[in-house]
Amino acid sequence: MSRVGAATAILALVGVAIVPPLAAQVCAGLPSLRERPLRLTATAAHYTYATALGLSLTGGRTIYGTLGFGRTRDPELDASTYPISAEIGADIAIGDGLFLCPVVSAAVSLGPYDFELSQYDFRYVDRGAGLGLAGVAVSGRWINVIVAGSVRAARVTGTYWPTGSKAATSSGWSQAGDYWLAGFSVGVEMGQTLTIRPGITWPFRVTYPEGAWFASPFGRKPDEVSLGIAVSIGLGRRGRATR
Amino acid sequence: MNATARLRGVLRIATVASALLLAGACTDLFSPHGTAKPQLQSIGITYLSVTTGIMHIVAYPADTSFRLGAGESVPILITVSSGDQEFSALYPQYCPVPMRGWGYVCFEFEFGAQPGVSWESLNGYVAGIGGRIQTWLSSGPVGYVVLFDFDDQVRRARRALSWPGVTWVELGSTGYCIEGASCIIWSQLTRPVNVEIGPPQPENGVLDVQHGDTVTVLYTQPGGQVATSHTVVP
Repeated sequence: MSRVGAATAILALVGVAIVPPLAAQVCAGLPSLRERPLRLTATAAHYTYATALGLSLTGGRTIYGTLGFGRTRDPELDASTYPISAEIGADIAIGDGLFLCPVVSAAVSLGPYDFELSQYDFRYVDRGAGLGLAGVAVSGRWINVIVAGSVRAARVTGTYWPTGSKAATSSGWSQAGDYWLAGFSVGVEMGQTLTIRPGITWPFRVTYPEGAWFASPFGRKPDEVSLGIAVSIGLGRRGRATR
Repeated sequence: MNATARLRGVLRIATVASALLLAGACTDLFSPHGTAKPQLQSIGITYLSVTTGIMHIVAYPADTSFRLGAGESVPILITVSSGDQEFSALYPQYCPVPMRGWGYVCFEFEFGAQPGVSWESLNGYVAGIGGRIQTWLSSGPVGYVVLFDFDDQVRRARRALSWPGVTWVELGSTGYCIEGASCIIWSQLTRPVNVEIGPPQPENGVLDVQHGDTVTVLYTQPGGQVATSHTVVP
């Protein structure tokens, strides 16, 4: 395989590998941890080329940490990656029901393995930082609606290496690319426990050196706005709920 | 009205706007995959063998920048003089669609086996993934498989790694060509067809032919003209 081909392949696979943003809590449209200290969240997103599923557990209060894992699969290429991600952020109250949320994140995505029967395995490392803004649009006894937006900058490094019979005769390679990711979501919290949060994400300013015609960053077309949904359950309870 | 109240009003408007936006996204998400009707420069039957049970149809759009989108196909009709008729569709010659990752030839893959493995011993496995062996090189041995369905090619080819005696599997290589280079006509369309000797059974997914039959492929151009190609079953 040519070096150019390999480079473009890596960049294309970035899309399969990049994890959906965790951005847990208020600025992802989920309730603040001020009421419940733990939150279990399942996510699903559909892209042009791939489907991403994830599960994460968040704990904390104003400052929180999230651990997550998932699976992103491109069925046509029979390629799956398994992201393991961590995130630290803060829900900083800046007004009545308004929050500002700085966040840093890191993830390693394992796979795809034996990509396209090539005997090459892939791994991606993604790290980013961003900021979000959220507010409680509707606050009722049984229903709360949270509107949130966020943006983050990230760098992803993709590495592939030969396996099997190719291990002795071929070499691996690494390449890095940068991107921005904007998100907008609306979370509907019911009974202060269950939250359903549809949302959209939009990758932009994706940079890669080999040209855009091959790239499918984020498992989607470049600049593709895509839909995702999260279902989240708040666990535990603090003594007195405050918002 | 204070600033907080105004902001809450904005958030409520954003809630309604986002609901509309998400509804639009869902409409797009669940829209069906469709057919495409490019103007074809030519369409032809490039291979037909009742021994292997395979027929290849190849077509070239007049606009070489034409690309089928994901899930799209070009409808064609295949008729046989002894009475069979099959509605079929053309797909890209080169995968994946849209091009990403490492390009490979759609509908086909190769595998290598340990010495002594026979074509006959693997034929049932190949049929099990919806394909047939078009070429068998006993020195190797190496098998060249044609699949009749477009979907899940990589996954189905990967299953060959579990066949008895198979040592390697590779997708059909596009060489060192990448999209944009001139070494491959990326707009090329193709469709392998499953062929059997037998009485006509229209629209059963298999082209039933007799020796000496004339097979015709028809495509209706966007302007209404019909492009055809004929061949005689040997």
